Amino acid sequence: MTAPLTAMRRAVHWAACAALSLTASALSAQAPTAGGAVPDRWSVHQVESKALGDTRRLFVRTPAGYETVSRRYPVLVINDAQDTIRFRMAIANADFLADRGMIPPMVIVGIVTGASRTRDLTPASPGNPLDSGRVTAFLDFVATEALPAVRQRYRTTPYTVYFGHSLAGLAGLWAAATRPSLFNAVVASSPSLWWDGYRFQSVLADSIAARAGALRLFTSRGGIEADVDSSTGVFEARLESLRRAGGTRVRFSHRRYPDDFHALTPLSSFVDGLRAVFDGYATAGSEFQRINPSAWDETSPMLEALARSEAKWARSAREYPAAVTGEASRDSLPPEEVYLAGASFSASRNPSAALAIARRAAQMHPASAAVLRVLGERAFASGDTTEATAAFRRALTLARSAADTTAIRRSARTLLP
Amino acid sequence: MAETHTRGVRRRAHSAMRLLTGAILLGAASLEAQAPVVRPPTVAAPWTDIAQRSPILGESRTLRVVLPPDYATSGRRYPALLLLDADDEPQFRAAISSVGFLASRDAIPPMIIVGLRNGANRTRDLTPDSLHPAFLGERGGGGNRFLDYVEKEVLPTIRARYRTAPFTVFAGHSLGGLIGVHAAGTRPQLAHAIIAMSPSLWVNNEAGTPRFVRDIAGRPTPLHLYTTRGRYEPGIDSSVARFEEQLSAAIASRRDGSIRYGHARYGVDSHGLTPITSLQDGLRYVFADYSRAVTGFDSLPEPSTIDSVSLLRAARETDALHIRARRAFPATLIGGDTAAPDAPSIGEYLNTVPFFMLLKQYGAALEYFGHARSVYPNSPQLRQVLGDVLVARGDTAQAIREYDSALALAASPTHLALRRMVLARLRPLRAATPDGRRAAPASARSKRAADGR
Repeated sequence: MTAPLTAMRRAVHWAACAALSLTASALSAQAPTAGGAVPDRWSVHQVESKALGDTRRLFVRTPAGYETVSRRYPVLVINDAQDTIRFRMAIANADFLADRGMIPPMVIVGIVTGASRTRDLTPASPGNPLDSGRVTAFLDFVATEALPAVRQRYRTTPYTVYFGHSLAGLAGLWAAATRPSLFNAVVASSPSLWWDGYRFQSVLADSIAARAGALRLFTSRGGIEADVDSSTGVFEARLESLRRAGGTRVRFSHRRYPDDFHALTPLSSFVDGLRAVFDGYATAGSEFQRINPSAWDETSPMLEALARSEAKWARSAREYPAAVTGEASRDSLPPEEVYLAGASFSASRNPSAALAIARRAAQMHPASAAVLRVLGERAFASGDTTEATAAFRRALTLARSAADTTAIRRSARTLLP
Repeated sequence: MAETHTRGVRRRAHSAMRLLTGAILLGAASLEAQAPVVRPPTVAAPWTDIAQRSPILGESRTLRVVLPPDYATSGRRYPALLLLDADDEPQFRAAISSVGFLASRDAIPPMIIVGLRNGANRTRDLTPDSLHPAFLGERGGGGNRFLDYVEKEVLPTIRARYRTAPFTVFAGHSLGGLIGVHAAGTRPQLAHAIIAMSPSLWVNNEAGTPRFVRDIAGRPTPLHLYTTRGRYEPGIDSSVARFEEQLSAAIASRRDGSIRYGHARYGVDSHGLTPITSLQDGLRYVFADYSRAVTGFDSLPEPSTIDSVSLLRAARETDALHIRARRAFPATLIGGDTAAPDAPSIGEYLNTVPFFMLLKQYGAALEYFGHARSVYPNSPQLRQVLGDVLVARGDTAQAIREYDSALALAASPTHLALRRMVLARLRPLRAATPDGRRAAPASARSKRAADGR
C-alpha cells in the first residue's frame, strides 16, 4: 500500500515548501492593483471555524481585471493550498485555459489543510495509524464557513468547482456523494479510494450516481500508484456502468496516466479535469484552427467554421448561462469575439472570407464600434473604399472612448477627414 | 474573516515598486546602445526583463529570465530552458509554474528559464526557408540569422549573467517548433534537447521534412528531441505524423543511440492548447533518466508492516537510483550536488530522514546515516541527523557527541542556521545531563575526522 507513504513523501515536500509558503503569504500583502492584474499572488484570510474548532487560512485569488469590472465569477476551490508550488501551478494553468477560452475566469479559493490533513479529509478508519474521521466537519467548514465568507467578500456566482488530490480527492468524492448542493463540479485527482480497506471504492460510486443534484465529475489515476490506480479503476467502472444503464444524471469522465506517479498526477489532472468539467464551454477560435492549411484559400471552410462557432456558442450559452459564469454577454447573441476571432484568423490567409465574416459580424452586432472598425479594415483590404468609409464613419459614431476613436482613425488612415 | 494585510501596506509597496521601475526605465533610453537594460522582477511579473540591442538581428530584443526559487542561496549552477514566444504571458506563466511543479517533484532539475520575446517580425525569425506562398503576408527565411542570435548573443548573455550549467533545452511552439526542428539538425552546439511543440512542418508543402530528417539523423552530438501534435490542428497533425515516421526510421539505422526521439499526439487539443502539455511532457521525456519522482520508498508496504529490513532496502534502492541518475545527468552537465563516487549526495541522504523518523526506525537510521557519515565525514548535517536519532533513542551522551561534532564541522558562516539549531538541541540535553560537558573530547575527535586523519 503506497499511499500512506505518499503522505510521508508529501511531508518531505511540505517541509521543503514551508519557507516558500511564508514568502508567498508575505508577498500577497503586496499584490499589485495596477490594471487589476494579479498574476499569481493571492490574499490570505483567516476564518474562525466553529465546525473544526480552530482557525483556518484561505487563499483567495481573483482573476485579472477583477477590480475594474462589476461582474461576478464562478468559484474554483483548490484543496491543500499550503502546497504553494502546486497552488501556483493551478492558478497559472487556470489562467492559461481561461485565456484560450476553454474555461471561464474564476475566483480561486485555496483551502489550507496542513497539520490535521488526514483527519480533515477522511471518514473514520479505526485501526489506521493515521488520524482520521473528520471529513463531515471539514465539509461543514467549507459549506457553512469558508465559502460563505468568500461569497460575502467577493463577487461570485453560485457555480462552484472543486479540485482535490489524493485524500483531498477522496474528500471531493465524499462531498459529491453527501452534499448535492455544495459543488457543481468535482475534479478528484488520484483519489485515495484505498482508504479504510477499499471500503468506499464502490459505495461512493453508488451514492454519487444516486445523488439529487446535477454534477460534472472527473477522476484520474496514475499507472504507477498501485492502490490508487486499482481502487479508482473500480470506482470508474462502477460509475461508468451505472451511467451506461441510465442510472445517473452525473456527467462523468476520467483519465489514466500510465507513466505518472502519485506526486505528478495533479499536473495533468488539473488541466484535463477543468477541461472535462467545462466541456462544451469553449467557443471562440478553435473552429478556425481546425481548418486544414490546404483549405485556407477556399472561403466555404471559413464560413462553415463561423457557422460552427455560432452553433457552439448557442449550445455553450444554454449550458453555461450568465448565472453560472457571470459573463453578462452569454444571455445574448454570439459576442463580437466569436466573429472577430474568425475575421482575424482569416485576415491574412483568405481576405475574401475575412470580409464575409466581418459583414456577418456587422449584421449581428450593428452597434459595435469594434466590429465596424474591423469591417472597415477588411473592406479596405479588399479594395472596397466605399464600404470601408461607411463602416469607419458608423464606427466613429458608436465609439465610446477616446481610445476607440483613435483606433478607428488609425485603421481608417486617409479614408476619414 | 480578517485579512492579514492592510491596503496601506499594499499601496506603499506598490508605489515603491513603481518608483523603482520608473528609475530603471529612465535609464533605459540613454543606455540602450551600450548596455542591456535590466528590469528586475516585480510583484506583478516574476521575471527579469533584459532588453538588449542585437547587432545580428538589427533590433532591440528582450529576454525574460526566471530563476529557480533557491537560486539566491544555493550557489549551484542550473540548466537553461530557452523558451520562445515569451510575449504570450498566460502561456509563459503556465510554463514557469509547470517547470516549478515538476522540479518540486524531482521529475526534472530546477532550471533557469529564459523566455525570448519576439521582435518586429516573428515569421521572419522562425522560418528556416523563405515561404511559398507567403504566410500571413510574410515571406520569412530569417531562421538562420535568428539561430545565430540565440547562439552568439542570447546564450553568452545568459551564461555571463547567471550560473548556468552546460545542459540547455530549447523549446518552441508552432513556427517556434519549426525553427527548433531545423536547429536540431543544423546547430549541434545550440542545445542538448529540443522540444518542438506542434511544429509548423506543413509550410512549403512539407518541403523541409526530408532535409530536417537527414540533418538530425546525421547530427554529430547527442540530442533529445521531442515533438507533439494535436488532433484539432489538421495541417500539423498530418505533417508531423510523417516526420515522426521518417525520423524514427532514419535514427534506427544509427547504432550509437545518441539521438533520442520521443513524440506525443493529443486527442482533444487544438493549436492554441498544445503548448501547455507539450512542454510538460517534453521536459519529462528529456529528463526521464534524471527523474527521482518515484523512489524505493514508494514501493514500501503499509507503515505498520515496515521493518528495518524493508526500510533499509528501500533506502538502498533509492541510493542506487540517485547513482544511476547522476551518471546520466552528472553535476558537470546540469549543476547541483556533487557526490562521492557510487554514493548519493549529502542532500539526497538528508531527504530520507523523515522516513526513518516518522516510522521511528532509529536502529536502521543509525546504520544508514552511520554509513553516510563514513562517506561524508565532514558533513555537519549528517552529524546533526545522527544526533537527532540518538536523542530519539534516548542515548543522550552519544547524541551530545554527534551534536558537538556537528558544531565543530559547521564553522563557516553558511552554517549559521544549522549551528543555531544544534545549539538549541544541545541546551536541554546538557541541562539534563550532569556530566554532559564531559562529551567535549568528541569534538576533538571529529575535528580529526574532519581533517581526514
